[in-house]
Amino acid sequence: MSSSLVDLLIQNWERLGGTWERWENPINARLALLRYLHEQKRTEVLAWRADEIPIPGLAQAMQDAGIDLLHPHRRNLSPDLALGLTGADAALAASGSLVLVPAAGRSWLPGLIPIHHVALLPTHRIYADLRAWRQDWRKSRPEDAARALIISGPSFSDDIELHKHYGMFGPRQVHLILFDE
Amino acid sequence: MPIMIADQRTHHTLHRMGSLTSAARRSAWRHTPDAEDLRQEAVAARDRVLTDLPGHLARLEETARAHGVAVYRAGSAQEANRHIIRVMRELGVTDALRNHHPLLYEIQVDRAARANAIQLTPLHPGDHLTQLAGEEPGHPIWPAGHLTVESISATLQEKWRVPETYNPDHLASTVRMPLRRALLRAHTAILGVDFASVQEGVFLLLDNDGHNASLAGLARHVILLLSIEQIAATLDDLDALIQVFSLSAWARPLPAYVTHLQSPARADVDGPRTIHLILVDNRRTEIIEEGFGQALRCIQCGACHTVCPVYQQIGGAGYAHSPYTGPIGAVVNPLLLRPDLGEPQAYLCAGCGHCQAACPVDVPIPEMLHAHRRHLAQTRPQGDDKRYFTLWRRLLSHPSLFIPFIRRDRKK
Repeated sequence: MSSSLVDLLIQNWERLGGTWERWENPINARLALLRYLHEQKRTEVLAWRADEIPIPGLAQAMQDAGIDLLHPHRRNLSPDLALGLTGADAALAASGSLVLVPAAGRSWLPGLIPIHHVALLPTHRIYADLRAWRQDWRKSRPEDAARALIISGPSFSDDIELHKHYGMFGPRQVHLILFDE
Repeated sequence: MPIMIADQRTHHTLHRMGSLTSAARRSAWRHTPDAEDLRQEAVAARDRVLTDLPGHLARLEETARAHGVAVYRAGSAQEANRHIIRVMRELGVTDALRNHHPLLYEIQVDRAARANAIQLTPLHPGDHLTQLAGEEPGHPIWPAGHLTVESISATLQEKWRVPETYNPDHLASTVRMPLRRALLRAHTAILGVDFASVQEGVFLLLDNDGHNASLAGLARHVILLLSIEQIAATLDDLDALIQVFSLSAWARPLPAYVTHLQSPARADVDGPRTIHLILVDNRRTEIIEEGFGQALRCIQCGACHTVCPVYQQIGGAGYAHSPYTGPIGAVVNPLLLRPDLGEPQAYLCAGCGHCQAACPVDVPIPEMLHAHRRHLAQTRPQGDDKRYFTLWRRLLSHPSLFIPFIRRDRKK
């Protein structure tokens, strides 16, 4: 992965108001995630199914840390949900965006409903921009390219005299954990 | 029809919105690599479908049906509403959430829902505030852009009995809580679609607050309404339109949420179980036949509003209670809604040409307004000239407000 793409993604992610950290391998990314959850004092996290998140041993690590991964369901969605955890299918450097494709065990909702969204992204999934991603996926994953959710930064509304209010419907804070594989 | 000049505080709010958003938009375009190529691609994408709209629509219908989407055609607003009400009755539901989209106002879906005892809740915060205030959206992107903090506070005190506050964050939080609760109970959603791609049968929803994305993920049933001209031949064309829309509307390469919908979801995957698509014509085919097809290039980004000195004087309320306000509203209202709207609206123009310069898809707005005026001059009694000249003179009687604005734009 070209470091310029990683740098550009980070630069644009920050510009949109996101926070990030980068690790040299998935194990350190897992430790970083646990530390982040600990700092947030969260023991319940709305999440993708653990085996869908590209970090080995995540389910066991979460269990050992006393953190429950809740699979999204209408029953457990509440306006006060604090933290959502997902992977990401791709990222777009030019716009600081994450691409999420819905599938079994990979719900959009952890990235949409909780107040904080934490996403784990292997750096090899970074594309230059929307068009580069679309062109690649139209060859390799044509159906997924047509049903993705692209998230660029936190949710906000500027409906009241253009004053930005973050976390209107979606997360107020988005945190990206990048790692090399 | 009288033209309303906005009061001083509203005028200040509109002017501030115009200044801030125009500067942000220009900066975003300046920082976009190959910006002019992107703009030309978007214009070509619009013209590609407008030169054969019936053919593209037939293909879209076919593709959508192949993906399991139920498709209906609506020649008029009434027909579109009849489809909505029928689908809701078939689903056995009496309430739904809706997004913010000018098409929903064009067909007056709220009124149709009320008449059929259906409760329809607008989820977009600005749209919700506008409705609470008993007003109509004044801008395609910021429907409550004309409302001041003071007027929003007064509305919320009156309607929801909340304490007085002039803090925009507190006001937004007040609106957020009930809307978020409503969202989490979403069962049926009525969604105006921003764009669709013909080849892939993809329907696109763009927003920054996330209400579209969440509704698409949570609602069991969605009823999509699409203006027949808001389509692109392929996803490549769609990508150009997404980018120019986002740059011109929100001054950023992409909005916070780009939601793709293509087909009903399986039980174990997020997304609606049924998708109903209503393709709304409502005179658009006639507009093309009448030679005004370039007006339908418009992607409703609102860029022309924020650079228009007349819009900043009169706000959305000056455009005859139409969802299409600003310079493009002056062009399309007489074509789309009622021909009599053309008379005063053709004169809501200072002739500065900023609207076309700001338009990401190069709609020749000044030329079309001239065409309206030429048509009026040929058809109306001579005595009316004085009335229109008086109206124009009245609008242009505040040079101190116009000249700095025009000078500022020329500098940039």
